[in-house]
Amino acid sequence: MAENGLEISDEEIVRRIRKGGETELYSVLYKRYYPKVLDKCYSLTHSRELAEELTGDILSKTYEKLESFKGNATFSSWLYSVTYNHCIDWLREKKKLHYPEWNSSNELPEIIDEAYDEEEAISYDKLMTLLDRLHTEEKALIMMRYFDEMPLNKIAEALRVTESAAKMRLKRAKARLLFLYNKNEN
Amino acid sequence: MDLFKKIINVATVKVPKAVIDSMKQIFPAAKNIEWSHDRSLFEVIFYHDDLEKIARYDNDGTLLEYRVNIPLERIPKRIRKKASDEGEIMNCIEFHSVDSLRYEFIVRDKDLVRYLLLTDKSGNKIRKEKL
Repeated sequence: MAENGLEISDEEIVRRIRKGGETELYSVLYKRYYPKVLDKCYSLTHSRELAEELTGDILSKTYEKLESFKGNATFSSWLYSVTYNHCIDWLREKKKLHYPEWNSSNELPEIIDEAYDEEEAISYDKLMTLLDRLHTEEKALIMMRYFDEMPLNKIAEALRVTESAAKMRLKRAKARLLFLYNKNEN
Repeated sequence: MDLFKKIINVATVKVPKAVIDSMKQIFPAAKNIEWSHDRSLFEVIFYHDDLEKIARYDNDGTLLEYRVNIPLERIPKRIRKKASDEGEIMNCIEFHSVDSLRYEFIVRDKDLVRYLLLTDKSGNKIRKEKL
């Protein structure tokens, strides 16, 4: 056994905490995922201080909920699902995040019916700048689907919407992103 | 990896001609079409009359059901009134199947707890469950 836990898989750590009570191993998961969770929280809140607070809450909440981790997904995807859920719930409550109102006052002027086939890749920074112009829930949808490759049913669960609503909002988010890109380029 | 390309470009799915023809016939002005295939059904998500729609077909091109994302201001008044009695409406999807029309709402209460509310075509509650 690697005593510091660095060589143990996430799932093995969870198993040992749950079955063997080796609760100290959670610090390995904490260190392993703290930067990743923090990065997601910061992407959604744009506040370092708040992102740190939310990350602490999320990692504590995850520890408390370890018993409910079913193991039919990886620990990381489960943790990220909790992360998005926690951040969006927080923003909905504290920042009065209201997608329907925002959406009706930010109607898409045009639905672009074409694929993107430029040779040159868009830089990560430029993509993040474009994503920041979407509603936070639309940005979260794109991050969950394309950065973290979460299945739609898990995305729907994390955002507390139905699967159909998640699909349609994702479609809108992508259409808006393409519109913003074209507007920016032309 | 060009993440932007991954987000914007749609996956290539081989769709039978009968299915494509059927879709074009029912939704001739569809834009931004994205197909997927799951459990022997073809699902397509697209824009039609500036609204997001999802339609499902069998292999022969028979339309099995379709859903329309309805902007809240376009929900029929009496349906909207009944749904509002169950909470603040956050989303509305009109669900057309072979023999029925239903509405799938997401509503939330004053504590921001969200629910799926399923109603019949007149807005009468069929089911309500916590999301």
